[in-house]
Amino acid sequence: MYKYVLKRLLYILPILMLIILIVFSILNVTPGNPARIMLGADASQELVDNLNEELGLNKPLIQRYLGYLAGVFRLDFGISYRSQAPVFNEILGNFPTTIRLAVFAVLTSALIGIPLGVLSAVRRYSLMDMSFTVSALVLASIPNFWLGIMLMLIFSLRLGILPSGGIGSLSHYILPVLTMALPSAAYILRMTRTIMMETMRQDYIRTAKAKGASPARIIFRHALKNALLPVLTSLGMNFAQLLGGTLIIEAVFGLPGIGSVILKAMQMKDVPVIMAATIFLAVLFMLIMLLIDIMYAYIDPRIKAQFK
Amino acid sequence: MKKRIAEDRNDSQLADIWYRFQKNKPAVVGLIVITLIISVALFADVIANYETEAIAQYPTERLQTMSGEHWFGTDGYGRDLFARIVHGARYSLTFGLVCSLIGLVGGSAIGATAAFFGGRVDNAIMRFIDVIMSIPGILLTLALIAALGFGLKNMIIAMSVSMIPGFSRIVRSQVLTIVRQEYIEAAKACGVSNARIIFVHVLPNAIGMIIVNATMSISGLIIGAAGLSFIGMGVQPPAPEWGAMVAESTNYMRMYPHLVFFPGISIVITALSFNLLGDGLADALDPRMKE
Repeated sequence: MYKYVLKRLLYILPILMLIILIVFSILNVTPGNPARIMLGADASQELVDNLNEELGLNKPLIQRYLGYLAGVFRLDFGISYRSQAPVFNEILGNFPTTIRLAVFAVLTSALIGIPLGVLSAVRRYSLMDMSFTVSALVLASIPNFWLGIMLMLIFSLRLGILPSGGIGSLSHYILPVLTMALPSAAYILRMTRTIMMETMRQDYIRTAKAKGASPARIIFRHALKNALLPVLTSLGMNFAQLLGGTLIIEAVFGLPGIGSVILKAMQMKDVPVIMAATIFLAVLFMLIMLLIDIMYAYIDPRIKAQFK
Repeated sequence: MKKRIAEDRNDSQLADIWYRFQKNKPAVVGLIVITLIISVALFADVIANYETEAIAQYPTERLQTMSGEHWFGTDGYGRDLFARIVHGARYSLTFGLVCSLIGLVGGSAIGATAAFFGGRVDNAIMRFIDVIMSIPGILLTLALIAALGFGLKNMIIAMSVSMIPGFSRIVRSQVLTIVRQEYIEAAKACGVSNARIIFVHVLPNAIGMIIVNATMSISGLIIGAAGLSFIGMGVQPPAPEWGAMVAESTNYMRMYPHLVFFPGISIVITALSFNLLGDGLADALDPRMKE
């Protein structure tokens, strides 16, 4: 088991380097000239050249990449073109908001999606199941920014029961988290339903029924326990979507998360900040997937046995 | 004679697919709505003049509610909301169709190459795709936009490129399952050329699944493009893009909620229709796929 975890952890390193290479190449083969952006349009060519020299921007791409990579492992992501402050500090300060949003949203979607999915599978083709199917389909077609705006219109501008933006108290998180969680809850619901229905057709469920186990015991003890594993994976995949979603949701509700850092940096062509924030989110996503894989191996005795 | 038989068989297969498709009523509704939206986009200039009704500002007529003259009211610059939404259909459909087409062609080329050559080539390509896909899609798109710059063309490029890894995976797995079928082995045993196997035996069998996936991706692309325009990274105002229109009107939404409602609901209806169509196509093209 430890060997498995260690192997997976070591495997992260090359992937991390590749991710950084991809993001680095995308953002560095650009027509824009960072030194020109930092100094403004009226600066003399000599000054621009000097700054390029100083920042090492005239070196070949691969050399810059290796330099950047070395920096990343020391948590040095360079200096922001705009604020001239270390990028790492800038991002670290905004990171908790995004994490909180994504974690709350994943938990909420699981808490809504899994029980309703089980219910849907047990009472399949009932009126309730159908209405869940329809709502899931509609929710999958709503842009998240518009869902947020509609919730904001109803709950804060009309009813006035929830704050419409900013952070401060826990209630500030309710609307953004709901906006993110509702569509993924619909997705989790569909996943749970399909997997539960599949599981209920298995032989061991028939065996349990034949033994005279109660329906509740069959559903929770025999079926759900097995169905939860694939659901767990889809929860993890969902997390990626949610991390991406925070970019837009933070803009809607004016939350100071990593998404707003990226947007601000994009408007100002602040490449080091965009790069660092993208790498941060990609790494976070990778770690979550790793955690799920490890949990998978820990929960599922079939996988656990392979690594004994 | 031989040709006729082939034609007949094709006819009946299409008829079969259509028969299964039209039994799925929501999918038929989706198809009708999409046809309507496409006609609106094609005849947008007939319905409302772009320059005078969708772009030109009329300060004296700003922020009107729904009336006979302005069906959806007017926005903060006095522009007719209905005219802008009609012209906005062009943007959304272009994003959905063009990006999924480019993504599909790129993904098919990469995925099919990986599946055909197998072994090391396959391994190298797919590991690389795995790494790209470990970057959340919207981040990849944003990074590409940051590199290319804002605007319509760059957004289309960025979104299309972001579609390629996903499509490559789907096409590869489709082609792989088909290549392993016995009829491919039979064709090889008969001495059929590789090109003929690819174009006559593999592609027609894979195309259904690929079309279904392309259709399903359209709604995501439309929503994604609207989101990018909403945060100001895509189509720039005053162009009547639906996401950008929502963003422009958020300042007025407390008093004039219809300004954010109509562009948003247009996105929802369009995306929903493509989702319904995709579901229907999935069932019709491959009846085995149904749960």
